[in-house]
Amino acid sequence: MKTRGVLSFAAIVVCAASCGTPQASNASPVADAAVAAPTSAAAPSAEAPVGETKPNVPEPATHAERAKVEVPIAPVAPRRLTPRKPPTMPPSLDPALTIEHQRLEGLPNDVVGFAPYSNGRWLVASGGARASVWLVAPAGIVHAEPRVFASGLDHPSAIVADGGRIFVLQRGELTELVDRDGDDVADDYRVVAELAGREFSKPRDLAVDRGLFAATFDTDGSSLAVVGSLTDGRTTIHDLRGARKARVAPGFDGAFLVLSDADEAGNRVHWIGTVPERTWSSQLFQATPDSAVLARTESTDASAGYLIAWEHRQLARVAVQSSPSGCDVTLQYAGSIDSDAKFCAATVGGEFAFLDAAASNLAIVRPTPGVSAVRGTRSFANGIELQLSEPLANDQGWEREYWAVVENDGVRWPDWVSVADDRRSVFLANEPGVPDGAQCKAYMLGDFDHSLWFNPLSIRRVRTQVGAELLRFERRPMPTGIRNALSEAEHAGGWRLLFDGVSTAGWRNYGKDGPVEGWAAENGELVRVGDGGDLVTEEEFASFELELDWRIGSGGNSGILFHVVDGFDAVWRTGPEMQILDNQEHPDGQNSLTSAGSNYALNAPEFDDTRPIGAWNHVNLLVDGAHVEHWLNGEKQCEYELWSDDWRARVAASKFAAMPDYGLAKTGRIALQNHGDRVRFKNVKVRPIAR
Amino acid sequence: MNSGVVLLALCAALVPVDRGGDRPSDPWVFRGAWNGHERVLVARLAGDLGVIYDLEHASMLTAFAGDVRDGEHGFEIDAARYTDGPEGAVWWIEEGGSAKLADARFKGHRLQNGQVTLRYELVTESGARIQIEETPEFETPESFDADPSSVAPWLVPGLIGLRRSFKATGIPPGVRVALLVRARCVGYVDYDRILPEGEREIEVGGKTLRELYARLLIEPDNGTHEIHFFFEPGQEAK
Repeated sequence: MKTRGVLSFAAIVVCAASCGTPQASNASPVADAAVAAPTSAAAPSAEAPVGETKPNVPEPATHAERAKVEVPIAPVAPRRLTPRKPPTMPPSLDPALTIEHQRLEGLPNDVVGFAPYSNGRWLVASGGARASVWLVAPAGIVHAEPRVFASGLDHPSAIVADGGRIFVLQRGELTELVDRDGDDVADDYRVVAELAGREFSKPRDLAVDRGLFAATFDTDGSSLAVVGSLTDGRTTIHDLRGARKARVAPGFDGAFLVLSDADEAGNRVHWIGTVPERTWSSQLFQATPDSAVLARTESTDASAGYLIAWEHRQLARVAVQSSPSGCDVTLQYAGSIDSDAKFCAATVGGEFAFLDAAASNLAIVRPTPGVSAVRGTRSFANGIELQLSEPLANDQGWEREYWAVVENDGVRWPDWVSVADDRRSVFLANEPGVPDGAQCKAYMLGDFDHSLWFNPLSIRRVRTQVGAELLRFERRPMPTGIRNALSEAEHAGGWRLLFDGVSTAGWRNYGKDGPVEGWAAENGELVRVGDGGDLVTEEEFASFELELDWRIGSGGNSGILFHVVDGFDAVWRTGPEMQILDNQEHPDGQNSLTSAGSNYALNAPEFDDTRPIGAWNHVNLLVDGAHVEHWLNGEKQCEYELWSDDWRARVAASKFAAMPDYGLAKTGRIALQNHGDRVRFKNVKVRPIAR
Repeated sequence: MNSGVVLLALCAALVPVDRGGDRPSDPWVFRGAWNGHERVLVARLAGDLGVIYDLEHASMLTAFAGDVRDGEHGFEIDAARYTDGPEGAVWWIEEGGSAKLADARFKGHRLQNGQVTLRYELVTESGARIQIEETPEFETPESFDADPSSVAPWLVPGLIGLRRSFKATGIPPGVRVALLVRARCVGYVDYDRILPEGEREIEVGGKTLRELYARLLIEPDNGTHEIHFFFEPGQEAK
């Protein structure tokens, strides 16, 4: 019996006979050392690269003799879970929104509203008797002191700018303020609509849009809304029935959105306009204790988008989309803001500005260029369509597992997914559609850096009196070339596809000739479909950069190997391996040296950077001469120098010590390991590096 | 005290006075409620003269002295009211030999050259829209005429004068607009434009004043029509 850790010869034989196909995983270093006997007779020592002979080192001549070599065994690393990287704290605000702060100074305390004016200036209305409208510029701008734009108003409650026209809602009247001589002072106070009567004695809010106005009034315990024409003053009155402190913003198609205060059931929205059959009312939020303000930031003939801000410093997006049955209302919390929002206004450019109660802190919220957000949704009879402000990345969002739909009975993947040609909308199939009046949520899986804002969408379908049945969405075929394609920059940079998306061309089974077995191209993915062995490239690579995406089944194990040399019984005899693994379910995940992203058995990543099972993981593998880097999902897993003293010491302390050809080749094939588990690859591309 | 009606055949329109910032308060034109009227416009023309218009009927409710303060139910006048105007509808349209009350709407006010101009719109039975502009202004006997006593013996220095100037456009041919006026004053000056419906002398506080009910006629000549009232300082409407 040899020293500790070395099995008896009999045990070695039994193991060799029963183990079948040599496996690199799930075996102790000792057992591996015993079974990993190369067939070549004159194997070079592990000390020198292939083709070189290191002097003064005895060369074991036979497999048996080699098996008797005393291999220094490193202490087994204590079993420990590879820790997950501390989760990145989500940003406090949706990255698709950017806030700019301005300071307004010198305004009175009784501000009731504000509106954008020319050249970055603002009109701020004060309340009470003989009230004024002030023209103010942000602090730091010349002539920033407020000056009177209009005066003598009777308890104004709101001021709105629309198409360069200024409107004020005061007691008994909707008034337009006109500066006829361009001196930034209103000299014409035109009556747009008379709103006299006890029920109109407490005006609250005003919206103006496309020749119509809507005004809300507080009455005893409830709110009233009036929609009227700017030209002839004719009005329609809407009793909002139990709503309180109603704020109003323009909608589309002659309608306006009213947001009323929270009661025990939460905030409500009301859709009012000149066509009674198209009006509706719906609960929108969970109960919140504070008042909200809203402004429309974008609109089309059939949709409108809003930002809502609360006094307790929360922001949300709301979208209203026309549908055959009525409207689809979408809500998504967008994060926290750092000041109270007491008043708000929308600017000409679709920005959302809000002012705090002290009327001194002005914040302007703008869309962040290039960052996508969900602008709204549309219901279909067989699912829901999300509309995005920016196109998805080329191959992003195609898989159903990328999305989740939450209904009353739980979370599930959509039945299938269809991305529009412009990648600005995604349809999530969900038979039998979104139930009437139900609330469902759709959100994209992924981490905060690579996906849409993580907060789920709440979607409500509202039916109107003139609603029709929903249409069914017809599935669009996925365009070719969206995945497994190179950009012009990649072409110019010397990249080549190793997987064309439709075949296994360029690959073969290791150690075999003939058609590829056990692997197939399916739906744009290179998939392990059965036994047949590892897959290797026809071509050999010395220095290169490799990129690919992998996805593995639960408990799965695979790997990416390079510098693989023909003529051995396994690719791992010669090729270093970047591990592919389900860290959570596979035992190898208990040891960081064999966890996903590791240089198998030699270099360990510090954190588990894999995405949740089912999601795609992105690999960058750099081999530049002796220098190697493993990257996973944008995080460096490890780096090492082949053939360095450190590398040799690690190899000598590992199971590869008994594999004299391990890691010594300077060129070889790239391999994808068939470990018997489900694994998929896509977007496999390589850039050879000339040295 | 002289009293009487002076009919003058003067046709010259007075040049608007540019008062600039010479008003007793800022703002000097403001909206609010007064005396049960929900929508009024107050114009403080001078320290001794303010006017209040009822915007529901496009009519002048009162001329007063001093300031207004904010009360629980609207403005309250500190000092005396010189005179009250007629309540309710005051605009008439004479068409086809008959006169009917007009549907009069207040359309807003304009601040120009330091003066305030109120705009009204009347709609005839035939649907024609008549635009009326009224510019109220403070004046003194001296600003009215360099030699006021030559105009009328009662026009003496120290009186508080109110000029109401009207300009109309869009009056169809054959149509005449009439404004019902009521005033208690020392005297008034018109240009043969009024049709008195009642006039009498009254004794108020030891002073003899005139009380006038009349219609101011506005012809379709697109000209300016004026009427001037002069009040005794300290006189009271009631």
